Amino acid sequence: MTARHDPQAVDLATIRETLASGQGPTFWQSFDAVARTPAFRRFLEREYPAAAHLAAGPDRRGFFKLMAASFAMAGLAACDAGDDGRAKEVAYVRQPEGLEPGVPLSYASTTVIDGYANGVLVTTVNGRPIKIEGNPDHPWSRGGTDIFGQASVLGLYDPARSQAVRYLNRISTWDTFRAAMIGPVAALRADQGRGFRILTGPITGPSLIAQIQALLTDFPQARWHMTPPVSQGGLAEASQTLFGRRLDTRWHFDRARVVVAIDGDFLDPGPQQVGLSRAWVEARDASAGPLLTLHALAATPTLTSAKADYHLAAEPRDIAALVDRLAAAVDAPPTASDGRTAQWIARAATALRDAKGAGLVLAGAMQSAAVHAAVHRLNAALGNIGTTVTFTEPVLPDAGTVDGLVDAMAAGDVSTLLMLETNPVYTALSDIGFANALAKVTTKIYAGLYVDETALRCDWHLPLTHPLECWGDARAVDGTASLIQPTVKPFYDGRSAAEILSLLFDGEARDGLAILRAHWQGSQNAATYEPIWRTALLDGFLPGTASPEVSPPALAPKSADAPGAPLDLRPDTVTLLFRPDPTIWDGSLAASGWLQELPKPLTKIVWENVVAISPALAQQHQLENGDVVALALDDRSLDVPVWIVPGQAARTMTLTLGYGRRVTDTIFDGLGYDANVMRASPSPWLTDGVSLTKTGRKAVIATTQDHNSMEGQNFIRVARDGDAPQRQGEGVRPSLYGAADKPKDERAWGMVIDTDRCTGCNACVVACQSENNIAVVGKEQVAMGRGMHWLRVDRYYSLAKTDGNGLDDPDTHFQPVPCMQCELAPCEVGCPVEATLHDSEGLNLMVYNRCVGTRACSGYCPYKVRRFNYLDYSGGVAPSIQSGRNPDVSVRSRGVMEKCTYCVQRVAEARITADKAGAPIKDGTVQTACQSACPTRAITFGDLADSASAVAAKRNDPRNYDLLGELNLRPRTTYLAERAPRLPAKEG
Amino acid sequence: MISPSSTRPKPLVSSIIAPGQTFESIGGTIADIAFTHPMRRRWWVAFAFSLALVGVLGAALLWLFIEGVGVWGNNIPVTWALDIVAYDWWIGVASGGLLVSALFQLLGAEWRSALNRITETVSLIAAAAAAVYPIIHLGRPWFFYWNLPYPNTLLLWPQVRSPLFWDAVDILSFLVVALAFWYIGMIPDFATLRDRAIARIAKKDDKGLLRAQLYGIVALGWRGSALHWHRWTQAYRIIAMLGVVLVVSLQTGAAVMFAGSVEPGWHDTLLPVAYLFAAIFSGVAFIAVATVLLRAIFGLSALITPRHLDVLAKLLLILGLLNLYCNATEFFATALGGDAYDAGVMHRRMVGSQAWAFWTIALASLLPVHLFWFAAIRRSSLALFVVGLLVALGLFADHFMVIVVTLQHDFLPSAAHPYTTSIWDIATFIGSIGLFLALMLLAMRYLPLVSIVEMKRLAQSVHGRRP
Repeated sequence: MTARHDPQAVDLATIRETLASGQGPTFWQSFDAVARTPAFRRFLEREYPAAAHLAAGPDRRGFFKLMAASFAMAGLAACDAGDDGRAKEVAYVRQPEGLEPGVPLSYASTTVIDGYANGVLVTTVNGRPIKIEGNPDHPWSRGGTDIFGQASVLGLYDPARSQAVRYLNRISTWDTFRAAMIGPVAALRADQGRGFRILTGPITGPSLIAQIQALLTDFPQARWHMTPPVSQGGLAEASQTLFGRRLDTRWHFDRARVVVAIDGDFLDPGPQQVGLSRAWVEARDASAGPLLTLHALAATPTLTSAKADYHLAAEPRDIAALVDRLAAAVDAPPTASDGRTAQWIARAATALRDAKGAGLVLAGAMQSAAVHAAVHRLNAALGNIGTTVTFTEPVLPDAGTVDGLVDAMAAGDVSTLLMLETNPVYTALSDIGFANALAKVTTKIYAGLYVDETALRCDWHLPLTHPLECWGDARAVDGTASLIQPTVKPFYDGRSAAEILSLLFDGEARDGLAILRAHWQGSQNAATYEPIWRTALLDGFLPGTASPEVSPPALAPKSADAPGAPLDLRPDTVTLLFRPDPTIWDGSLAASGWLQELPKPLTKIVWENVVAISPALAQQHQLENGDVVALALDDRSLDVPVWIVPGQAARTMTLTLGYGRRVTDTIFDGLGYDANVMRASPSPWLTDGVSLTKTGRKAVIATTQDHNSMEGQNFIRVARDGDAPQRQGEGVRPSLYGAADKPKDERAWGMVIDTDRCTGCNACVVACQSENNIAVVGKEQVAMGRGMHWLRVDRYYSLAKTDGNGLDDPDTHFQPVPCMQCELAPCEVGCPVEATLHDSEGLNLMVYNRCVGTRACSGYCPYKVRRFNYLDYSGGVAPSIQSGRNPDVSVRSRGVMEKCTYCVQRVAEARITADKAGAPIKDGTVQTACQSACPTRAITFGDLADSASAVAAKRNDPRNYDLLGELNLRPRTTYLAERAPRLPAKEG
Repeated sequence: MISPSSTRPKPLVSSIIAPGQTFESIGGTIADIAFTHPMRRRWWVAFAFSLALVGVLGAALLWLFIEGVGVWGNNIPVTWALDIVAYDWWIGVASGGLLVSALFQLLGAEWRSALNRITETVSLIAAAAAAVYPIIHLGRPWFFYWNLPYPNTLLLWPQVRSPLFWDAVDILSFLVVALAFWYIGMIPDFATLRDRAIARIAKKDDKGLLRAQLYGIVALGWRGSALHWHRWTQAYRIIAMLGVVLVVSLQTGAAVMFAGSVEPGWHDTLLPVAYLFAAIFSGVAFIAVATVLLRAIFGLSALITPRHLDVLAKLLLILGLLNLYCNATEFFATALGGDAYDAGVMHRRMVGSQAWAFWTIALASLLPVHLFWFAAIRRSSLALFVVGLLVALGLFADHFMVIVVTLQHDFLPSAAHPYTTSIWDIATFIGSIGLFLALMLLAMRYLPLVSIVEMKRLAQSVHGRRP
């Protein structure tokens, strides 16, 4: 409950007084009599918003009429076939053209994260979308996907999605809503929209933006506010300060010879991840001569700093000064050396100086305008602007801020508020008091996918359609306009944001396709536009719509009061950083079981967030993983368990967003800890001076990887730049079984995983889960060691790559581990019933319905990639989720072992097609789910027997090696060693 | 070898039967237990307690079948945990018992006569307790028969390279052989019981006609003719030989379930030998405990003498040394072998989070047997009882260490995960103890728990004639 003073608040005591004083009715049978007092109405609205309409509504007699009607309606509802999603299906009496039962169809569409687009192909089988694949033609994503896109298919089938219009949290209808709005909208129109505000989440879709802007023209007094994309952090503000206007910065890794990332986040989850990680990896791979080295400075470890060749942990408040030092070192090489920081700066400065015009310094989105300015000046001084760094028009439209909206609401200037695709009650900073201000708005309309915090505080809740079942568009980070195509009829009674706007303000409500088509067709002739439109729908995007490049803007002069000495902070306090969660983002994806159970890339924690703490700080406070600490600053406080994260700046803690929510009947209710409690404007991503106290309590945290070190082994190998190519693998050694296990067929499936390309993004893990119907088991089961992911991404810390600083700042490595498909598989020896065995093409198969569950195979597996259905994990899930499963893959029952089979269903499909055509399977025809999902193309799969295949070529790479090769199991999955720059001569 | 016709005096064996025992007194002492059920109330209390534990087993199995093996604490990587630990422990006890009994039967060790029935009964019932696990530990226990070679329309046979298949064959064979060994040995005794039951009816001091009939049926018409004795001796010795081979096969087979993998700590050529020695060790420990208990409960000190206790203690001492040898060899092989994974496993076994298992082995099974270097302690039934229990406990820890502690962390540290026992693991194991106790109590009440015929032969050989 809020403790803030509400000037209009009237408590029960006043009403009691009214009654006692005799000024109220002397005899009163019901609250009606008292409720007529405005004070009571206010009380009722404040305390029981859901009951307020009763007081305002009909009298007692009318109430019973309504109730009678309600009961009758409830009876009618029972006539429905139930809510298993089948009620709206119509059997195919006549086969629709182009649809063959069981044959997958692919639609180009778009998945949206943080408002931005990634081009995808949606695979549908029997009319149901079941899998997201990358769209290779899309200029931004180029065939890659991210975890958010991969998981979106589960969101479509989520039975917890909002399914009906609600008025004051009671089921209502669209017709009722429209009827109820006719009057208010007319009144608004008459008043030029005074008091009308729209609040949206981040929106980049040109058609929706145009629709809103047209609306603002119609209602000149209305205003549009937008919650900024989490991934943009302080970019907009920095750009505004720097250039006097908002601009998007483009980085061109392909033109760079060295990259310096200042708290960089280009490899981290977010809309930029798919495009930028691919661009970076390709540039790194293509770099002739010395490796395209990545120098990273970070306050909290990220995927970007994890992939860095030279990394440095730095306190966030020191970063601006460090950039200045770097700039100074570029001009004049420093002579003194004071340890790692100086070494890192000297090395980066030398590299930048040596690569003038081909260096690239970039800063992360969470950095302040001052850091961005310093970075920009450095790039300008090095001549990088225009080559490696360019600028484009912004993708995000101009809209008001949430702060502005809250001010207006608090001032009582807002009578009608329409909220689309945002959940401000949860995501808005706690100190601006959104929820309190919202209470002052007369008409609150909220359209969302879920009945969430905001929905519960609004008058009208309108269910949105899922992006896989509606029309729409969105721009990618580079501006490419991408089309969202429905792949299935809406499951529930939802409408898209565009349709809701149309329903409210158009004379005749238009459907999503009409709105979209009308926008893009513009004034062109419908007939001539038709082929263009068809092509665009087939491609999934409109070519040539990337944001136009602008000439490098003049930089605002460096202000005199540039950051001076770092803040003098009390030594017993720490800096608390906030970051979007690497799996559930800002909480908007918290309802996804796949994302909840996806291990966070660095901590491998599932189902909750923790506060990351540096080993040094943990040692100082004698904290272990899971120890609950009390964080406090002024009136803000939060009890949260700590997790020791190597690479974290010593005096800095990091908490991710999206948890600590309390929404009943959701899977995320009560999970984790609410970071928003500790956030405040004006620096939403960083809070200084937080005190830290050990509470003595301990929380049980579920993690999928307890051990961080390679224990002296070389599971990850490093190939050093400049070293003579040295074969990493051991080669084939004899086996007792001789040649008996050689493939009898001409094919020999194999996989090569390039650990240098792997950024640890987890897209493969979610893709595998989606493709192979892998069960979600929940936190308790994961904590017991029963997670079901067939493919895991192992994360190790080492000092192998460069010059890590022990536990405080080690090298980080990622290693995706699927089944190795050993040619001499030990698991097959163990199984007494031949439920796991080799096929003629070298696949180590699992015959689920032959498995009796001895689990010997798992005990025998040196890689421990087998997963066992200890309980009935798949049987009891909601029917709607069952309908989203891949029909080509058996759902495993309790008591059965399962594991990666190189997506045998895809292999089989290709084999059948090839056999029918009598042609060999072309290299690249079979793509495993993990391979096709990977944004950096780290996974290569194909026929090893075909010497011309890509996978055979990778096998011949000197970097190729077997994991646990000394066991001589001849794994078909092999790895390419990570690359590292030539170690510099030790600085004196 | 002693045969019923042997009349050669055996002065050395005079210490293994109390003086003055006649055929009449031997038969009477043993048969009276079956007829008069001494300590009726205490037996019922013990039996009720055992049945309650069997009830626990029933509840645990019911829940297991409803929910799946997930009710236990097993996980990935610890796919085998208390289920296989308990199985290996029970089957070890069974194997040890059978081997000792069969081997000494073949070697003609006279002192075994008083102990062989106890040994064989313990062995058979422990095998029954063990036999619960291979089926219930399966993910889909209703398909357990897929593990066996039976004709089917799919023409699918078990995978013969799998040690698990051979384990299934072994345990089935073991049950058959152990049952046959135990039963064939009892046929003459059943005949004695039958005759005595009839005699009691004739004397009108008993109306147990049904009992006489039942004993008559199971005695298979034994009349004690020379031909009967001849065939009986042949059958008994053939089964004993089979038993010896089978125990070696079963225990080495059970060890190959681990040694056949490539896992560090398992992939070890010594493991089959270590398993065999550990099995005999636990078997003898169990027999020692059971012998001391039965001797005390039924006052059989005339038939089970301090000499018997002395022999059991010496056996335990020798087996303790053999087990120490196996452990020491493994230690040195690992320490000097230079395999980092093996060394890691050994390190975790000795100082890891579940090092208690290793130290239980050392302190409970390897160390206490050295008390038996002293003759006085060897003849103390209390010492034998305590050490026997400790050894059994230590060997449980041995299986726990070999299976659970090893599996928790093998090659890739990323895949390591700790194991925690669930209440249902423990309930199942306690239930299997209940099953053992209940069957043991039934055997104690209705069967001649010391072999009448063997004791009579022993008495004859002591006296050099029919006493």
